Amino acid sequence: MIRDLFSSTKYIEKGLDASWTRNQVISNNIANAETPNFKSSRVEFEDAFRRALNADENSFETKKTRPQHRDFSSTPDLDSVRATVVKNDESSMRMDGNNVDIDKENVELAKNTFYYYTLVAKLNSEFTKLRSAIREGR
Amino acid sequence: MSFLNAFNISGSALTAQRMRMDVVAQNIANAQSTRTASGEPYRRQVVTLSENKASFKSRLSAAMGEERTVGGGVKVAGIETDMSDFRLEYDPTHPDADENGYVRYPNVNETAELIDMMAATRAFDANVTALNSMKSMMLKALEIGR
Repeated sequence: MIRDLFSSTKYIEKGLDASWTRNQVISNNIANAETPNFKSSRVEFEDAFRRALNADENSFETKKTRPQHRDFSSTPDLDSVRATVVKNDESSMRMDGNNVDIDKENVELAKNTFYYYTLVAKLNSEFTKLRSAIREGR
Repeated sequence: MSFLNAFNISGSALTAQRMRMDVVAQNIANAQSTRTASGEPYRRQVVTLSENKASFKSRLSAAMGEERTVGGGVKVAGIETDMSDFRLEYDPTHPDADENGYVRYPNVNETAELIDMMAATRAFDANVTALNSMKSMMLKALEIGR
């Protein structure tokens, strides 16, 4: 029971971490919006997290007869899902090889800030619930 | 510290864009300068930008398996000189006119400079927005557990 106490805040923490990294990556993209040959990056987290969350529904047990055999289902463990930074090398927006779409970055920035706010509010409500339980609802 | 590094990214861009503005101002100011120390008319200066690679700490943690490196912003790679031809204008009364009456004026195109200045201003604004969003997120983080 006590071990599960912080299980939900643990995942919110992951989201906060991903959101923070994303803001840094977007800031870096905007900072380099005029740099020749710069390629933009993005942070991937939510898809991997969702996949890990639905792992029980989608995966099936692989019959393993030797320790070297691998699982077919490559869904990662929920705890090991982390935000990763991916560079977009394929496209070019301009003649100088830069591929920062400044409008898209600005929208992502606004979106990400609100996402962060939402997660902080959610985290605080979790703590409020805990505090309420500790004080026996008083 | 990682959370202050976030400010350095946008801060580096603010510095770079301000440098661009300074150079544009210098170009416009010298658009009519027919004499410089080298004896030639003034030549247009151009700021070149390059990506600032991630810090040593960030790259070390990437090498140790932490799969993410956030870049370190932008830096001014240098201020280079535009070697294109000078503008010729016929004005025999000018003291710097050659034997045919032509004066060599700097290769500064005011319209292009103003457009460049506008681009630098907008880029500056975009970075201020990014900086403000980072700041508000940081303040929000302080409210956790209040």
